[in-house]
Amino acid sequence: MIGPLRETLRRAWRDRSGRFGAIALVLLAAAAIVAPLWLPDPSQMGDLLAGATPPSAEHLFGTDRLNRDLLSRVAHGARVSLGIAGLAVTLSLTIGTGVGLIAGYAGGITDAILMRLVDAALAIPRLFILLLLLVVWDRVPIWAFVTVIGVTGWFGTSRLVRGEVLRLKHEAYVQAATALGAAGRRTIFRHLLPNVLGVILVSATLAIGEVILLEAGLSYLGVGIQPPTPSWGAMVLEARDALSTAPWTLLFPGLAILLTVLSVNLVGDALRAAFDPRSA
Amino acid sequence: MIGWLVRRVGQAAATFAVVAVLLFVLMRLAPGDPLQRLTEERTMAPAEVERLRAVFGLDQPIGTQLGRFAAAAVRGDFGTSIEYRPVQVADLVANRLGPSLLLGAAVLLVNLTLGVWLGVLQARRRGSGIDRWLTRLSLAGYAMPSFWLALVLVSLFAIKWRWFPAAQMTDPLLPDSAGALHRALDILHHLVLPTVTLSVVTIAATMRYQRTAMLEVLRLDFVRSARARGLTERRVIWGHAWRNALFPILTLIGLWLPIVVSGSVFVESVFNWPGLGSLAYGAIATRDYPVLMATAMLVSAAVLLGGLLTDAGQRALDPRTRSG
Amino acid sequence: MNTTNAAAATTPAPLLAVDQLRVGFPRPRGGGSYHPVDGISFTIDRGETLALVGESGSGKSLTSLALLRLVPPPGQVAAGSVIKLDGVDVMSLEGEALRAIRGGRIGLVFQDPTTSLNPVLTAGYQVKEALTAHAKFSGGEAKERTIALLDEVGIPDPTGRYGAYPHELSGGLRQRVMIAIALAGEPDLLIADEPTTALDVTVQAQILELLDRLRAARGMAVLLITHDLGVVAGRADRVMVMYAGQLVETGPTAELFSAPAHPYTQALLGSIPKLTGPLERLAPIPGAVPQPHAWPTGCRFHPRCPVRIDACAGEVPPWRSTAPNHEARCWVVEGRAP
Repeated sequence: MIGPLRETLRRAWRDRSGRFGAIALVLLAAAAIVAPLWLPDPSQMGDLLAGATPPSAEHLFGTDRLNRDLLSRVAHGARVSLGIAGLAVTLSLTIGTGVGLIAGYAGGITDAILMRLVDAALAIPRLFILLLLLVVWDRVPIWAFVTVIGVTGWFGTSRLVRGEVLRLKHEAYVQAATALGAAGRRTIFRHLLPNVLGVILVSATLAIGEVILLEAGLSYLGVGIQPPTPSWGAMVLEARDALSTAPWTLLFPGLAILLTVLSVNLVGDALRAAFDPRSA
Repeated sequence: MIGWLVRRVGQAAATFAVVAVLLFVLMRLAPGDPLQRLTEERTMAPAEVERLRAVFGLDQPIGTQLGRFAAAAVRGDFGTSIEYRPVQVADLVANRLGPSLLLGAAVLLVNLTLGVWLGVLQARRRGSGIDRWLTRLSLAGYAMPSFWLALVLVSLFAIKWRWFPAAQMTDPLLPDSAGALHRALDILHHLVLPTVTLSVVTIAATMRYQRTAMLEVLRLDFVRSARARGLTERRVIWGHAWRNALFPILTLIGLWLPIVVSGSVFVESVFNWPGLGSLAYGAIATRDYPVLMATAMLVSAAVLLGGLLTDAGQRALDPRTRSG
Repeated sequence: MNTTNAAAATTPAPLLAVDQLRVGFPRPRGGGSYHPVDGISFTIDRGETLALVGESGSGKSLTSLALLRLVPPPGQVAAGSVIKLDGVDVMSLEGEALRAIRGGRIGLVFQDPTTSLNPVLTAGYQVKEALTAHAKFSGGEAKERTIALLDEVGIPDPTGRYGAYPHELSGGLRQRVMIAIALAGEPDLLIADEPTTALDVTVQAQILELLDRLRAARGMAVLLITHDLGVVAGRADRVMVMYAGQLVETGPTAELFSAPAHPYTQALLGSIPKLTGPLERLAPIPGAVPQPHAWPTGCRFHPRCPVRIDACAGEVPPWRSTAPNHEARCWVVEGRAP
């Protein structure tokens, strides 16, 4: 299981764009973790009369309208975004893989019911499901936010995993294992799971990008991360009133989102190409 | 074909029923009584509250609730909008449908022309600098938050350079005497920025699908055979190869329908475009639950319809599946 | 090597003259390239049928593609190759002029009609398209001519079949459609690359007869490419035998069949099942066809040759003539330099 996986990862590394994405991600994550140690407190307001100031030596990204250091806010926002994305995607993948394995392996009525539910859920744009769920809170607590995002993102993964399971069910070695009397659960874990891993990995990287955009969007709409927790989406929202007076307050948070999602997508792309070279 | 169509429509209808149930469950999942929470900040006549309650059947056992909801929904009755009472939700939605369709159609047009052409170009020049850069650029577009891009475009093209209007679909100062052409041009003028925003964010998918499909087809024997007949390269690429690479684009059209209908909540809100997207956006701010529900159901119906049209289109266009 | 040296003064110039044609592909690892077609020279006269015989892997299909400049990238026709059609160098043509040759002067019938026909276009459309690519016809006239062409290639009920999709036709009919497409531009030379390999035995003979008829009726030259010597007998005027990217023997058909000079040709003939005469064991040629990136040194057939001598491994054998116009490239053959 590790051997072929490492080979695929090596292949993915050869892709220039994928490499760029991976390195960028590592740097971003490092910045997110390390930055708070060096940068000023993101909620520390400076001279309120000065308001938003353009980038300078003291404030590399400038300050927002409450004279808070923008670089620090963006760096802290990275923690929030990456953290939420990581947790939510883990939740989605776990549920999705579980459902996919069950549906694919069990087949029959179980499969039919589950897939019908998945089809219906996929028909509703995720944003709407989230809005319907989140709109009820005045201020969404972070745990609820992460859970809601996680619980609404497993449908696609379950379909993919189920597909792989169905494909593998017919492979000789799985049939052989079953014929030899291997118990159901054991079959799943030792034979199916490793092969499904590839699909899950690609799914995961693309899902992270999607969640980051969703979280930013929901925060922009006011139903996501609540202040004072810094969030890129909320920063864009604040920048809306200062488009001509303080364009840097719009630029940097947006670029942060763009760069992060792009890096994640590039890595996901390289992985996908490595698993299935024909699509390159 | 007819038999297949009937079955397929039945499938879509069944899934839609499940969608309705799911949405209903979603609503009931929210902690507390949704109506109570949502109406406590406003003054609503008790009769109004009872009316809404009746539509959602909140005072009834769950089974009956579901039944009433389904019955009302089928009639198109989602009740009264909490924010805009006494306007019916159905009327609100109907009014906003047009602008969303217009925006969606414009984005679809850009994708089907520019997106397709770029995808084919990438396939023809696979591995070249153009191919790699187009991929990178389109991926960057895909990674952009649409609301952010919209704001960037507004600050540049509407505020700084004043080339395009920053908001709405029409110029509120347009005199009543303005002719049809003038009005149409005015709308087009307002259409540009929102369309560009949505197109940038979505063109990556189109390009990728088209590139992949085209690469598959270009490998096939009949492409070489077409060249051997002395046909122009243009004919070989578009008349022979692309005719076979059409199918994924049909898939995209099917995926497009929900975007056409909902018009992107974010983009419409930034531009104040009077479509379903901004309606939903407004409903979020005002916690107008019935409107959100109705919009969600409409968009879901659009998704299912889109999938149906795609499947039907594929069957119709590929002669092998038709007679096979 | 030339075939018409002595008679050059009196016979008309050949329709197609190929000299030292080489097709190169870059090596996947490491630099340089290898040549699956490695120095082919031959001529085709107007109206004659020339057969190019070789096993798969000999490079014969690539040769036909090279003539139309259709070698798939990253392969390409190597510099120094000369392809002259009626005196015009095909290698120097571009754009419009090249397109005019494809289908207009040289027609190519591909091996597998199933994959060579566009599945989403009707048979009639594809033939009509080929017609109008080379000459201007009005809509109605084009359709009429198309139907006439379909009829000429022996498709029953051509009007009805006009709107048929390729998957609705049998293998034999599809091949006839391919032939019709190749003929649409009124070419002087028709290249048929394994025209019967993908077909049933019963249909094979029909297609070959059709090609014969068409050739006679239109005065075309035909380059018949095949691995099956049985197809050649009685249908070709001359035969060229190709092995490992090179020609090893050429000569008039009857002559070559009755007195094959090159050991490879002899082996090929020896492995044809005979219907008459005493039962003999089929004698397959031992060994396998060498790969293009690892040609043997000297005579490329020497590892599998039953009559090889020491010189064969070391040096490339010269052409030797055993009879007028009959030459073989072998150290062991007795003959004089042509």
